[in-house]
Amino acid sequence: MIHVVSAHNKAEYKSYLRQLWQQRYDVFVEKMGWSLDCADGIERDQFDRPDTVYLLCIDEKDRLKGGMRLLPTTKPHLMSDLFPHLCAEGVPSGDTTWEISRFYSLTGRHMMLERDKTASELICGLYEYALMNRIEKVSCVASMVLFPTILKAGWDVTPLGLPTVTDDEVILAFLIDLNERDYKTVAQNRKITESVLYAPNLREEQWEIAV
Amino acid sequence: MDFIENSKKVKSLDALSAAFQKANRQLGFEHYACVSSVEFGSMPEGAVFLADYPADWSNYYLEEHYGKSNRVLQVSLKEHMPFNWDSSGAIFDVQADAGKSGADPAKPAGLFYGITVPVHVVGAFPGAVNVIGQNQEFSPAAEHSVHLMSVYLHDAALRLAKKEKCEMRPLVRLTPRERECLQWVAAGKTDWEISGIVSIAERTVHNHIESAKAKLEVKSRVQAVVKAFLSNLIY
Repeated sequence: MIHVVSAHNKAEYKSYLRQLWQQRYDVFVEKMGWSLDCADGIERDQFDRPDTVYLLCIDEKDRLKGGMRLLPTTKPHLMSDLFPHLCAEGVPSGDTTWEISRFYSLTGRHMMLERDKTASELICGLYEYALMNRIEKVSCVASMVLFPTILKAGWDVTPLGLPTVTDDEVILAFLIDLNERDYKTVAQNRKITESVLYAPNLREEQWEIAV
Repeated sequence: MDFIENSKKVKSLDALSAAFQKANRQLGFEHYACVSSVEFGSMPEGAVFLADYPADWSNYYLEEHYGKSNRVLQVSLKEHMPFNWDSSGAIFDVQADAGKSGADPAKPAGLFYGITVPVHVVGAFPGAVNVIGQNQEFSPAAEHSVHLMSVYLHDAALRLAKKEKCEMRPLVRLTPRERECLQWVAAGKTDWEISGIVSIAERTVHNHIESAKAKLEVKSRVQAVVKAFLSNLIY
């Protein structure tokens, strides 16, 4: 299940967020070798703010299996502060555009594969969350090594500029259009048949409306 | 960038190929090939083969290149990033040999330069896109454009192939023996030599090759080898 964690429910997810910093350190600093400025064992930066939204994948045994970070593009975010040069025609921003970063799945070598349940849930969770909250597009920066795999998910991905060499890595900025039609295709490709969002409040609301 | 939008919309592999070739030409290249690295001769589901190569290249491949094109693919398996044929020592011979294959070796027309873009997708066959032209110099921007376009080309080819659920090319199935024999024919061996190499009777070698010719619907051995090569049946 995908848990949406933001300012209003952060307190309930304290231990998961602690795990998130640790897992992000393991994945991005240790495994991917990114030169991030962070304390030992904890990866957390200036973009982990009160208004940051996290989608966390927590399995049935309450283990954190992966996550991603969402930032509004109307405030400082990675693209505006660190990667503006990757966008040929300016950094996309607006109320309906958010940015994803620190996407990872602990399923390891099956990362992004159709049978990686964590990645599938994160992707479908992103669609669901976006469609419910009027987020139409998400921007992202990724390595060209991963880009073919990202593209294969079946969503509508448009590059924002040409691939650029940064820190010995070729990276690319792109925009994903999160629309209803693609959501169906993506979910089908990944054999997700129902909502993956954990949302106790929402169910209550729906029930009230139903009455 | 037009190509990227086109690649999302095109409905057929032919249209995709045409769109890529158009953009490719604008960048100063002439030909391309998008291939999955699968066992030669087999075309399993999830593999792609899409190309626009000049017809007379078949001869060139036959005479000089067939082993080396394989080397390009081998380098691409190890690499994650695009490489220029100039910068990779392992395939430097390709250009030297390409010179001989041109109609007139004195003219630079026979020389080709290219970029290979390895495309690695988790859960799919490793692939590569080669673009080839006569210009030796291309700008880094052209190289990056090729890189990006290649990834989209490969993705769209995979998607269309899956959707159409058809073979990427009219597929002729050769038996392993037929393929093996034809491979040796391509290497310039006679029936008698092949019979020794493969340890079967000369007559049997002949039959295998005749059968392969029939399947490929060609009259001569040279035609069989050319057609088998272009269909990715032999290398």
